[in-house]
Amino acid sequence: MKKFLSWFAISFSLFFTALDAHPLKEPEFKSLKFLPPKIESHSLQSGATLFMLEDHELPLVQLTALVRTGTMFESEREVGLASLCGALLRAGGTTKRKVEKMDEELEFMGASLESGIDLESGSISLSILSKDLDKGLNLFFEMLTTPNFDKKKLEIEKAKIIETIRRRNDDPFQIARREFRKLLYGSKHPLSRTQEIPFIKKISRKDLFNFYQQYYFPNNMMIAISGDFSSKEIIQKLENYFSFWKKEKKELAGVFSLEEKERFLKKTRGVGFAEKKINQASILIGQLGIKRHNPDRFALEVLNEILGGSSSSRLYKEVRSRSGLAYWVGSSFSEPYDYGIIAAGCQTKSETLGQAIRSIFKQVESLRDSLVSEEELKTAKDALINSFVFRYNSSHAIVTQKMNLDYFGFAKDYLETYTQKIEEITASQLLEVARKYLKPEEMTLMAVGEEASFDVPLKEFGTVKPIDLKINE
Amino acid sequence: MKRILFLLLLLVQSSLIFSDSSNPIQNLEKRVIEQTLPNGLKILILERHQAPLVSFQMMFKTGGVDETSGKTGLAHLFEHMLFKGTKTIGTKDYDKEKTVLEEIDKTALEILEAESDQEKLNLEKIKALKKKMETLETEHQKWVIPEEYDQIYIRHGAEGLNAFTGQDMTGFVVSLPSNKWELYFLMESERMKNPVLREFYKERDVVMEERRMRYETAPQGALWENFISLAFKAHPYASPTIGWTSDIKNLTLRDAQEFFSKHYVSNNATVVIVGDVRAKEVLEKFNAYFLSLSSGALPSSYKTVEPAQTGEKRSLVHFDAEPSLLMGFKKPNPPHSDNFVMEMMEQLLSRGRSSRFYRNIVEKKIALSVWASNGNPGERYPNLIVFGGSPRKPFKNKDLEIAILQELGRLKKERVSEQELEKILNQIEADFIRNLSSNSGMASQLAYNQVVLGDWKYLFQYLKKMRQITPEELQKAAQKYFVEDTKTATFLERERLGLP
Repeated sequence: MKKFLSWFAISFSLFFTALDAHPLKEPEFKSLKFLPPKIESHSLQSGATLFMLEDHELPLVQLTALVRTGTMFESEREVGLASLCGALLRAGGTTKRKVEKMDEELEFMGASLESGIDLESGSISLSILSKDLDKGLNLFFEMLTTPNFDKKKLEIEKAKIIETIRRRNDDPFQIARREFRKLLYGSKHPLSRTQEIPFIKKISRKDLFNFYQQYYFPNNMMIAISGDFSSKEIIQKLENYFSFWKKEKKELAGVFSLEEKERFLKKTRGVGFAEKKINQASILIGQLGIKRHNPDRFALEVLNEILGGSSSSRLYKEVRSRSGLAYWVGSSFSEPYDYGIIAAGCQTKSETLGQAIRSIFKQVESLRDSLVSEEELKTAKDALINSFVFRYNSSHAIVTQKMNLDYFGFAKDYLETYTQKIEEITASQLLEVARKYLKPEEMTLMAVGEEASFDVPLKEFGTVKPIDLKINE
Repeated sequence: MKRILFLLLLLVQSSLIFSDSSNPIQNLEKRVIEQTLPNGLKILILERHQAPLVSFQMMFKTGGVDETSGKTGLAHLFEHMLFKGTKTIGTKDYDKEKTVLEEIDKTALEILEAESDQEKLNLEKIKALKKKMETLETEHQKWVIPEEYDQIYIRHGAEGLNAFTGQDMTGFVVSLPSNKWELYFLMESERMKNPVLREFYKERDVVMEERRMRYETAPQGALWENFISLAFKAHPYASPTIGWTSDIKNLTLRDAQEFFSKHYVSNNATVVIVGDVRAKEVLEKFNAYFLSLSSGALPSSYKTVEPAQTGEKRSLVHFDAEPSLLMGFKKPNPPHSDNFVMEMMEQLLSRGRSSRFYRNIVEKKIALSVWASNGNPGERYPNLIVFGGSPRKPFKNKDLEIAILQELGRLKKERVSEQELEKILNQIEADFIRNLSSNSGMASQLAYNQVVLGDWKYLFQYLKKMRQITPEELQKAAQKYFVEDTKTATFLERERLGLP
């Protein structure tokens, strides 16, 4: 249930030096024998790639399609267009069928069909009992190929988005995350920009059509399917559906990303602050890190587990268990198409904000100052390696994972070599990446809370920039 | 982790079932293996060998509702404490550590006593005691191996290590690679036999932070707490599971120890295991690890009965956030047959895009979202069906309330069509099949049905019960329960009403 932390681990050195004498005697475990099921892949004539995994345990089929699009392709003046397009593809009906009818049919079968567009991809997912698969596929393709983007439904979706924008300052932690990204990327980057009411109001049905036509064509998508179906039959069925939909030759739009030099632009600490009259402050501390496919990611993953990635990490032990300063404390790193974020943070009462910030910095610095012990390193690596098998949790997880790795251009043997790469990480590599990526004197801070109650003035941590939360209607 | 879930029931109740003979999942019920040790501890095992993984859940029939007045929050704080280790986990030398722990407890009680004398506060004395406490806690840290309990699990590849406390129960969950399944027995039997409640007063601070995060700075949490405590005036469901601030501040280690010995007895718990294990092997070890756990007299189940409500209750939460509301009606708890009718109401009103709330409220742009949830804040005692939502500007809470009431009015006036009922039943069946593909989902449903409702087999009777509901019963129940006298409504708004 922990939202912000992933569940890997780290150790405490004293534990292991005392391991032989430890009073708790662990049982002996057999080694895990597991051969992941083989995913069949197939290139359809239309140019779409298909990944399949049959699993007849339950009379259920799940299908997920990925379309190469994303909010990152929007221009700066049309932020919101892509997510509206993704939502309306489903909510706007088709030229053959009103959406109300589609909803009734799907829900009568206990099925679900959903569509959306994220930062780097569009997705459509179908979950249906295998006896209804043909009906489900029919609706899936009808939606994909003949969407209507009904004008009334567009107005409803726009109204929902506008109301969501109006509510974006209700939750303090949400404010902290959003404004933190803006401080790091500036306000125009796809990783930080936000939807605004005046722009949303201007989006028209025609804009959605244009966006749709730009990205939704068969040779720009992949499909993963798992469950109770026959591979041979499904290939035939999909070939039939796709034969009515033509291949396209289109160049995807360019995407805004940071220049190498921009990443290193900030040389001094800056503090963003948004005032909210509440008794608990939210704080995020961090800087830009790595892009996807950076080989340092394995060392960073281990480093993050040690710093704040689990409930036995240094931050958790120090800020939560030992000091009682926070319920949520942790760290994370991301690796999107552009430079991601490496950050730590917590929520603590106003009167201990300064104390908590100092404590977080101290833990960050400890990783730069000295080598982690061999025991601590081993525990973190063991945690990552032992929990790796959870990636094969369900047939659909397996097949979509394969598709995602392909979509994002990972090496073919990424999964097969993952545990070995973690195993090879050394303490001196960790020290190297810590010094390369964690620079406390250049980190950005974002705080939300009631300034008058803070124990330490924020200016102690850098030049304070007050943030205006006003929403333009 | 270690959090309470006030909406847990929303999840648990999407738990459903299949029982007609055309059902492709036959004999699932027969695949569940059940055994009870002489000390009353029950185990349920469901083998699934699709992946080399296994999920566990241990649930105790004890929660917020079992606390006494002045000690609210104790069940939840105690749940946190069970992650603090044992006599063999989390310590460098328990015998030496114990001496310091005793000193800490003594000093904490002295501080409480000194602070309780409001009339003549001896500030000097309090200051000295707090100083002493600090020294003792520093001394204690020398003996502690922090978070070793979590660390052992995590090092072995555990996922989803967590626990939750509700009004009705407390659950401990974790999943492991299946070759490590025996680790679970070792770790759980250790903490049930020999827990050491170390760092208690720091953990109490952690819970205060949790309270601030979930209920004091989060509009939905603040609204929920206010609403529930208004709806009930005498029954313990009125108090939040996380506890009132002043109660949490006054909880002591002794309270926690007492709570443990009273409620954490073997005959008050069920262990559920779903996944890639062999039941025979598991049962053999189950005896070995848990036979020596002690049983005890089950705590008194007497609870003040909520007096009949005799008029609508309303309240306002003033909060710096956009408006939202909660509204609820009193109703019986399971196994009362009307409870199942209310389950059906929940689905009819708010399940999916073709539901009545979505079509008639969201699509009319009155609300951003609106939902129904039966069985709050618990199901061991008579409870509420709750409706909630957020109006969309320019509509206000009042407009949304009227829109919801109109939908409830329709249920009173018009019979639901067979087609609409059939749709709900089909959705429930499909959900049941989907849930079967999750080890942890199955484990929590089996545990919940066994511990809170009294028998895991109820899980497999649910659909049958739902199938028996007629349009007439729905109409009758709507007329009986959706009435002014048992209604409670709470609005959260930024603006104050303002007095003349």
